[in-house]
Amino acid sequence: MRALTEIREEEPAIISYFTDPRVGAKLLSMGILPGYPIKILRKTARGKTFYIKVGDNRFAIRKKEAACIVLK
Amino acid sequence: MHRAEVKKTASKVRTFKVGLLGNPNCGKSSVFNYLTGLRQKTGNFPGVTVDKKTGSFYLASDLKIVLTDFPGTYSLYPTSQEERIVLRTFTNAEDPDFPDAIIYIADLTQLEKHLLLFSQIQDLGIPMVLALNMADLAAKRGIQVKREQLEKELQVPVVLISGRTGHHIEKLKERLKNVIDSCFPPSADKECFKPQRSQLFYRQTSQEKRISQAIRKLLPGLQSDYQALLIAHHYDSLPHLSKVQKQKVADIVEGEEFDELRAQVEETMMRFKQLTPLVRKHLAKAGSENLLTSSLDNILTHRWWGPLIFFVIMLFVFQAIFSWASYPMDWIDSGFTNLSNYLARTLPENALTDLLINGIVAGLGGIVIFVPQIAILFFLIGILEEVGYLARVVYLFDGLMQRFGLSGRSIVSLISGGACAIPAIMSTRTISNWKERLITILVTPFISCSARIPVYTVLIAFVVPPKKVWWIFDQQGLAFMGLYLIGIFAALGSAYTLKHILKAKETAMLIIELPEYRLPIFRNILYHVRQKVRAFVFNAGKIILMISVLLWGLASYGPPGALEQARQTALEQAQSRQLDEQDTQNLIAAKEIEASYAGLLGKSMEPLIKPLGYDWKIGIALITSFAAREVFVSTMSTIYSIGSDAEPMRLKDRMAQDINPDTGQPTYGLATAVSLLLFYVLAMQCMSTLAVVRRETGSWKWPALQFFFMTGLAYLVSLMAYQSLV
Repeated sequence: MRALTEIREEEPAIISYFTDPRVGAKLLSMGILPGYPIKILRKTARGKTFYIKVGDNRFAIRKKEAACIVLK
Repeated sequence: MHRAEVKKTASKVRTFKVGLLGNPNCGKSSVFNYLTGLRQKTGNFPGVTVDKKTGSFYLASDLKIVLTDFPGTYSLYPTSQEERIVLRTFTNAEDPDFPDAIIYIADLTQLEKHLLLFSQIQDLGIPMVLALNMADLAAKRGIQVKREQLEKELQVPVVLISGRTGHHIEKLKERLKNVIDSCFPPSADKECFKPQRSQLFYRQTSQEKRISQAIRKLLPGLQSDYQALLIAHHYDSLPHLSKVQKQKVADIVEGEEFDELRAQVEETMMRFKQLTPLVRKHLAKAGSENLLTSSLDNILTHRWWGPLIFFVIMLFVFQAIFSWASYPMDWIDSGFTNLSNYLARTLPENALTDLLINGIVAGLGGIVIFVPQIAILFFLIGILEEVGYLARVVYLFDGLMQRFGLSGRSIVSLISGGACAIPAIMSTRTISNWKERLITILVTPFISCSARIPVYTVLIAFVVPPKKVWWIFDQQGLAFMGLYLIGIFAALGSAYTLKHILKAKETAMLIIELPEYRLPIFRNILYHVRQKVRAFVFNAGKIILMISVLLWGLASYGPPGALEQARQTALEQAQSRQLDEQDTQNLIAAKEIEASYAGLLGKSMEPLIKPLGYDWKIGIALITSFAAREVFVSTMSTIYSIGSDAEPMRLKDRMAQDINPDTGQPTYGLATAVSLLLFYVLAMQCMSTLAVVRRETGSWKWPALQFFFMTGLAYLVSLMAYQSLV
């Protein structure tokens, strides 16, 4: 079980579940769902914010929230 | 007879409230602009500073639609102030904004995601038309949709439209008319698209059913079980429920040991479980990815190039507000001067004329002068927003800004503040977290704006010799830069402090969409600019005009007889010194302002500002500066009787010659000038900014706090500077 913060950039993965229900609820409402392919495209210079791709959609997410996304 | 008939037909016009709803970035505003044209108004939703746009159009000569553009929303489980408005409205049929029908806009290229909210609204049972936007773009990408099948399965009319080209907007209206005709009043022979979807998207669990039944019993006005369920989730933040009702709902929910968050996740998952196959069935994707966005983002969001490109873009924006705006501002300035001169020539010379010219016309001029800066800033920011770039800025700077309690978006406002705080503060509406937005609003005026430049110029010239340091840099330039840095430092420092003092209403999260890059729709941007300019002129403008008239009164009236006496003294002095006409007028103006209420106020302020090294003359200028900082220069020029429109450098020479009668020393030494410079960097001296802050925060509390905080800090810093330099 790895969190999104533990994979390298461009490494493909599949979302399994969310650890924080509040963050999870927000992710769900934006169409980021368990079972969807996800990858980190890039990070900011200090690594605090991630540019991610879920399915065909792109999002920016803080590291703190990314840590709540558990991968298969 | 004839007239009565007309009236009768007029009263037969039926009016319906229609809501425009959809996710952020679904292209709602384009559709809104197409439907309503210029018949739109902007205000706030009651109690909050979230833009509410309404407009009207006719579906038939006797069928009027009042359209409300609701904020872009992902779901009825809100995570921002905007989304809460939508929830609040849709859980309360009594709400003045509760619509009779809804036009739901979904982006066809992201249909699955955009149907979540749609499915929630459908479970509420509000009549709806589904407009699939970006049909042109989707077709280009080989996305094909089976419209009729989708219509059948969702049981709502579905229209393929394009907000970019206006394609099928008429058809959308037609379908809306069908819906309204069949639902109001419902008739048996026509198919009503009201919630007769045989089966709801979300079937409640037995626990949820018990809860919603109990809540419906408690609140009989509710229209659906789903509305009751939403109340079970959000009762605490719904203003239309009374305290007693909230308590009763709380009892029901707690009695059932309802796990809200879990239920919310389950519900959302269940909805997508139906939406995903549905969209797959009716939508054929050729599967070509948007390469433009990927390759642009390789550079624009690059960890080093990204920020660099951003600063180049902002330099361009800054340059635009700072220097291009100066042309229209000069025209406005000279236009109002000409108007004043014309009025002075044609109207009789009396107090009323003076009020008109120096109070009202000057006040109006002081409002209109900001319009070019506001228009240019919102035009450029509008382009950046429309193409999708601003979301990238948030991505790039969020980490840095977080440390100061600010959002990635704040950086745009802070940099714009370097030209003028007013449009900068107005641009904070896009910051969705209230605390981050408030801190941005409160600290932006620390950034040195263009109105401070004339003051800096005079005072720096006064204390810093123009000695060259290195290459093209001289000491004065460095001093200028130093003042700007102090402002930036004060802004970030106080943001950092406020971050720890202010309480957050919600835990800040950052999960934002980075939409695909698109060409901007200029019509939307122009509507946006027009809306911002109107908001400033008609809302903040009123306050500015009032204060301007008040300041005029202070400067042109004094205790009974005082001004006449001052005039007499001035005339006698002028005669004995054999001054020419111009100098005599200047001397009269100087003596008059000294004897006015503003003068008295300046003099009574003297004990307070003496520790900073200021005398009553500066006291007067501080008061009049409140109209706009640069007024400092013209007021000081008036006081020194060199005429209010004298060259700033003449003022500098004149101030240097001023000798303090008590000490025999020059009145304005290095210490005073440095102290005054620091004061102008830090103090809140702009009524227009305060008026805008009041509008943007919805109360006088924040502008008052801002005023005392900034001015207090300025006082302390100036005091320390003066006392250590004397």
